[in-house]
Amino acid sequence: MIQLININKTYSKYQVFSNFNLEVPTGELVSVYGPNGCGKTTLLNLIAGVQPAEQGEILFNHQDKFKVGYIFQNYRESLLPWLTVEDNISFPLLLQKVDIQSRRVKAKELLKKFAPHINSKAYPYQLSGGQQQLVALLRGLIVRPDIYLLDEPFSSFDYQTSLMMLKICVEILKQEKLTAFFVSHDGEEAVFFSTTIVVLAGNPTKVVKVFKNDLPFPRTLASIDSPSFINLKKDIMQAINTVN
Amino acid sequence: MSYWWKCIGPLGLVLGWTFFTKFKIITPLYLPSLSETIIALKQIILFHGADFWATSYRAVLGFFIAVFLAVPLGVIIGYYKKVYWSLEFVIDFFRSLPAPALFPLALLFFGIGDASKIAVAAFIAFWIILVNTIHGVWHTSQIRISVGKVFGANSYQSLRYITFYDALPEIFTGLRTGLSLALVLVIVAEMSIGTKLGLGQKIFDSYTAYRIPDMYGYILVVGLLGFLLNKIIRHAEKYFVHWNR
Ligand SMILES: Nc1ncnc2c1ncn2[C@@H]1O[C@H](COP(=O)(O)OP(=O)(O)O)[C@@H](O)[C@H]1O
Ligand SMILES: [Mg+2]
Repeated sequence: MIQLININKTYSKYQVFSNFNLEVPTGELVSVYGPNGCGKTTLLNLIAGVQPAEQGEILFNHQDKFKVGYIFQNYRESLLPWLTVEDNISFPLLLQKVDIQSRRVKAKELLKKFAPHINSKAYPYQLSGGQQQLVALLRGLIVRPDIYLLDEPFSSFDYQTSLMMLKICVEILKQEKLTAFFVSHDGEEAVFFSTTIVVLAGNPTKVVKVFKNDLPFPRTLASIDSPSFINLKKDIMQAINTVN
Repeated sequence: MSYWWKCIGPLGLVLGWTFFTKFKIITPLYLPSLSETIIALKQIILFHGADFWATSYRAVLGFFIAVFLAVPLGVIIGYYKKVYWSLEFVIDFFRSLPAPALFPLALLFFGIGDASKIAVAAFIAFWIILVNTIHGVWHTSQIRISVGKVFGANSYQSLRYITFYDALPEIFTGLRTGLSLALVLVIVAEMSIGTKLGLGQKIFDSYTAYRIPDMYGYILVVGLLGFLLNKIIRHAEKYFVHWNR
């Protein structure tokens, strides 16, 4: 169970969260859906511990220590251009002082399993956007995270590519049985990804509604046109408009 | 194709030189003919290589001393804002100070040998490399710092594995300028402090003895040295900062 309890977060004078609460069972693929500027990135940064909250607790199975994988909104910049693919993926292990041989073995295992078409010795700037995205994803996996955070990872891709990448992501995260928070302001992506959808809106930002998403996996382009998909998408989009 | 274009500049230089000397537009006392200069240059290269090495040694050693001091210090000063604030005036003062003003001081501390020349070269390179390193650290990607945080980097790891590399392109800007200035200062120091071996000294000696072809020969050698050093550091930059283009 992941719990966010009584979170307060303010930027200079602008209060993003005030007594914000959220509880999600482990193993869920959670889409965090909300308009631009409502605090989705801030929420992920709080969970990741990249930014401090003024008040509140974030617990994973009642512990305040847990590991996260994170794909940043600007994933391209988040890769280290001076390191090869394998060294980027295993960078978190370098920080844990794992020796270089074991690091590279681990990185190569992940590459072989999930992205065999990517050359482990290439540099990030030699890869396509989709490949860079996968490298960022694998870097988060190598620490065996408790929670995986994805911040609008596909917003810079065209429609086809973003759906394809989303599908690959979902498959990997499901295979690893991870709990994930996927941030999006796109209703279709949010439904496609999730088993649970958390709709955020308001000022300060609150959870407007939580939707269960029982659409079966694997989801494909065809799923998008199914009536239940379309209805759920409508529901979450309407949920935002009930606030203000 | 581009190869031929690149020959035009040097060719023009040679033609211009020949033109000016052939028609005595500039008196041969001031500008000897190209062939005379080349004969002098050949003599220098064959029998006076020691000057070249003495000057190179001073400039390069001064440069490396500056690098080993300025880069780690710059990373630390850039990283800790409070350290920067407390040193801002000192840094701005010394980097604005025209280094030749310190020649007498260098003599006082290091004597008339190699050490004083190396010291002034290191001095001038130090400040420019320091300032560039600090700026490089300031321009580190905040996202990559966050990446470090997410995966548990402590501040030493963050500095060593992220900030340092992020600053490297700007550090190299400092290294390029620093090396050029180190050579300039060594030449000036050799001329004004004096030395037995050294290109700056030899240029000055040729001038006072009125061996003008020799003077031009040594000037060409100095130019060549500067050109070589610049090429070397540019290659090093391409190798170490491969991602920045
Ligand atoms: N570092 C910051 N300083 C000041 N305001 C910020 C900062 N980061 C975000 N904000 C503000 O907080 C709000 C939420 O931002 P963010 O979490 O990035 O929203 P989202 O990801 O949902 O688009 C926005 O109004 C934004 O302008
Ligand atoms: Mg955002």
